[in-house]
Amino acid sequence: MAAPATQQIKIRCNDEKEFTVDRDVLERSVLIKNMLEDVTEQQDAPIPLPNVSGPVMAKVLEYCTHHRGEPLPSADTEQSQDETRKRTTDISEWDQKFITVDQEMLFEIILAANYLDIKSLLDVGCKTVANMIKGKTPEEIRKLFNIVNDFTPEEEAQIKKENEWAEDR
Amino acid sequence: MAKKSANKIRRQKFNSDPTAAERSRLLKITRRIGPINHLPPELLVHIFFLVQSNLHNEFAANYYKWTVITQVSRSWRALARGTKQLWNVISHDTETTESAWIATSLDRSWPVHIHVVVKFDLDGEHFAFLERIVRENYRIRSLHIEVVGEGDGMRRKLKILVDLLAMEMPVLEEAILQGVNQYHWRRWVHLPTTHLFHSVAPCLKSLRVIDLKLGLHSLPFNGITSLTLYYEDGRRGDLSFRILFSFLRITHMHLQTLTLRNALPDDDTENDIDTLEPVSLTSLSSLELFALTHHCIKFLSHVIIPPSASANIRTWARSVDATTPRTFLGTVITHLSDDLLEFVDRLDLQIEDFYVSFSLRKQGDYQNGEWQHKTPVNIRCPRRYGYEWPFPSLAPFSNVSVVALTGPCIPTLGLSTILSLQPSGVVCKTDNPRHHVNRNTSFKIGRSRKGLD
Repeated sequence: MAAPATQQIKIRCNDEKEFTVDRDVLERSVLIKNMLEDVTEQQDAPIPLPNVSGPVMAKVLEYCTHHRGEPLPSADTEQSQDETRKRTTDISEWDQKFITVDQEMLFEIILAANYLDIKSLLDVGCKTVANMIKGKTPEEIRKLFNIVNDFTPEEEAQIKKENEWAEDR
Repeated sequence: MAKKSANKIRRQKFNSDPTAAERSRLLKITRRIGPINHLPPELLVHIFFLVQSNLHNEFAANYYKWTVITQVSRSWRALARGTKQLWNVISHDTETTESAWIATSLDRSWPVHIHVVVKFDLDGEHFAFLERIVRENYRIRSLHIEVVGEGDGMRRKLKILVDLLAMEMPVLEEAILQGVNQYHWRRWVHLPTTHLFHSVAPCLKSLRVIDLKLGLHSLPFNGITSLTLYYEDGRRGDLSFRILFSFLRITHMHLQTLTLRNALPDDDTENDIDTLEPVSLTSLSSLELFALTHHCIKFLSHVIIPPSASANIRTWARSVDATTPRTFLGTVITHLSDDLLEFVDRLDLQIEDFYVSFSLRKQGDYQNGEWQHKTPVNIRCPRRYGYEWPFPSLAPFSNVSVVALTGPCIPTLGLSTILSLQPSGVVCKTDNPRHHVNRNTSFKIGRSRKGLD
């Protein structure tokens, strides 16, 4: 007996790019899952996603397709900040390969995962950034992320003083 | 011509719209300063917490390194300093941490709860920081104290610890106490952990004691869900069966994880529990038991463990005489219920010169009344050892292995113990395989110095 066909859902990104995706893949996004649950009748009109562009959505869908069928974190397993700190920042091999993109795309994926409420993808993105920060000096971090050093000389001196004891170690 | 005028009109409109001009200006700036600046503060804070991860379990020698994020830019600094929870791990190693660091963390985290991680060196010079921590007792959520050294003036230093443990800690949920009693002047000095164990920490849910003599203290934690009593090999605790079972009777409804490593008493004739009724640990989801075989038997015959519990039991018979009967080992299995055995997916049997040990693990997720193995069952039976294993079924053991057979013990110990497991593939024969586990028990021979023929 053939398996029942999965429902196909259309989405439209902010650059008018449209995707037709299996419902179970899209439901990795809690935002879309809730939207679909709120709509009782089947609609042909695509779901507008004004905060996500086509190329970023393509990456997000690649992730969702790979992880389809995996249990979604339930609301009561939402982790506190204390628990976040206790976790490892290890990333699985597939996820690591998936997230090896340029910085612009990496942060776009993080923002899209946050907007679409895909906790596991948000986690992969944030862990990647955290791993990029670890072990670097402030100057290296600035250079890596193109951040302007906007401290005044007085502030710099104060920071240096505060961290003097740590620098010898 | 028409296109040109359209562009002109658009430009004029753009120039007259201050919002659009501002938007464009901001866009140019943000493009220049890098995409990380597009992140909303809550995501950046989430990343800061992840920068702290992995360092969390280390003592302060490395822990402060996360503060590098406060030196990157004014906005990062303001965000990090304004997020009190980023500062609430009060981590201290007497050799490497400045007291100033403790004071900074306590100030910046106020008034949120704190996690105290302290390595307290009795030989060290600096311990005044503890007095500062003691004053924050009302916001300690977790407490991890490790005491090392046997320095001079120990009593004075220990007094501060005593003060801390005797303070009321209304939000304390997790405590890890390691080596918190010291051998001094020919006697053990016990800290009054009994205070902590009684009324000062009403929210305590998880207690892990490592190499800690409990003295005559009982374990009356009404709300505790996780208990670990851990003693390094070669050391042992002073817990009696009677105290342990008194504790289990109180907590049996909500105890979820129980780890007893070298914690069961060697000699408990005065507190024999044979006459006691078994305790049903209805909420138990994880049991780890590392103990001598006859202790395991005694413990397991007095508890009822739910079939959904994950069990990791490591037990061993010990002898200075290789001819001592060690068939106890098989007896442990006979004390486990069929339900508990059914989904065990690993059993290792290790036989060395004077030790016989086996561990038994049950792994996977228990969903919809069934065990779902996380990984496919893997059974290996290398032909190079000359044994062929025609296993008919994976249940109850997916992997049973004899890891090593060494020394002179094989004739008296190895075969009878092995055969007590009733392997499905007959490896060797004996006259008296007394203990029956399950007819489908599978078996694998891994390595043998002398062989089993």
